[in-house]
Amino acid sequence: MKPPPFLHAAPRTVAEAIDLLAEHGDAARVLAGGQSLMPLLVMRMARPSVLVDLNRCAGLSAIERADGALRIGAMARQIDVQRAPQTPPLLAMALGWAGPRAVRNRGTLGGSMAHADPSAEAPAAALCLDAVMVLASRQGQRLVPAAEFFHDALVTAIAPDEMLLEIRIPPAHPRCHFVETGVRQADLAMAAIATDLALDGQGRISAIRIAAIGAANRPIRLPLAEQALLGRTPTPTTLREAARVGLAGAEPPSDLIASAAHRLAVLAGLLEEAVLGACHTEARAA
Amino acid sequence: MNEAEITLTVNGQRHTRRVPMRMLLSDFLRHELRLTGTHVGCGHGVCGACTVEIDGATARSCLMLAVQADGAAITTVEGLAGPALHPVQQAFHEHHALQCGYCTPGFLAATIELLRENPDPSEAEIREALHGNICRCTGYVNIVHAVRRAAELLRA
Repeated sequence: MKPPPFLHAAPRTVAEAIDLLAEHGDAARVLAGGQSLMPLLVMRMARPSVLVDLNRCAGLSAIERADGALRIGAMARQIDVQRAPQTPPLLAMALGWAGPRAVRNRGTLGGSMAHADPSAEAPAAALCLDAVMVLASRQGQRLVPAAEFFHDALVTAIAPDEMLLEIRIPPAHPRCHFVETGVRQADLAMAAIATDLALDGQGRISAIRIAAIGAANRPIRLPLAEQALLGRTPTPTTLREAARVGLAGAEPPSDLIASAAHRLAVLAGLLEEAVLGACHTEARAA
Repeated sequence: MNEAEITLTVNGQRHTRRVPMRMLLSDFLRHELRLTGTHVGCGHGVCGACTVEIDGATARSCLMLAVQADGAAITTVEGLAGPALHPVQQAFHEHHALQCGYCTPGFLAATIELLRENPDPSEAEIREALHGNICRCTGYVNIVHAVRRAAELLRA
């Protein structure tokens, strides 16, 4: 297969990349690790006239703590994020599902966010952890919380003249878990749950965040399930009730992989498994 | 017109070529350098047959542009054997870990990367490391045996 013709631009700096995006707007696409965009190009589902390739752009791959948050450059490779000691365990667990090794070697954290495949794991982890996306254009930078970043399948808050610079992640709670179901173990997620929580001295849930893949055409939080579990001891009854109220308004997609009803049933089970799993993991310092 | 000159090292040999910007690295290796050991199965990053090593890490060559490999050092299946087979190739041979052989170059690259980081992997770790490579002759059992044998050969 062969992509349609395009001009390949390899800016060396963010300023050059932003200039290219300002100049070409909708006709340009940013190329990060290529593990999602390259298939779209060879299948001719994307036909940009300019590819703004960030692989030679300086300063986009750092993973460092600053001002209480972890800052991960948009071009940090998934394998490097997964293995970095500062990475929140929930994000590392989610990236473990992100594809085979050769894909994670090239695929980037920023690319996964910007592509916004509804079945992708890293966006759900980012949403669960209240990550903030740092976007840059000629107008400067703006910060978009993950909760406002993912608009629809493959649609994000990134404007045509903007690029994703960095993902900022505030400190996580001490316990987390990520569980997923697909047709085959390593295949695309049919449904998945990410959770991050804290327990008090009596074993009650004192803080909890839950994000779902497969409950909508984008990753979503389940605030009603979070509220139902807050202050409660995670018993089978409270977990089942939390899954029921948390998923009550959800409208999962129906497709060849699974019906909406099947996804809801699977998500309820995954939610219970994820929260219980998180409660039983060793607590870690935030 | 949407072309660029690239210089890269493949299996220790330097090449300079002028290529269309849209040329895939897999097509560059096969059609320009005539290194046809890199096989193209699906062409969109699912099957793993085109996996090669680029600057020390595996990548699917069908998901990279040739222009992106400018300055890179690449090892393809043609670069593995010296006078004798590479130990991983030897182990695949001994354990009948291939039937048609189409997927084999990708499996070899994935196996070499696994054993470099984990010299004594469990069966579960082997299956995890190879899950991005598809064999349609249903040869996974023998492939896992071969990887365990390759680990022994490389540790010896």
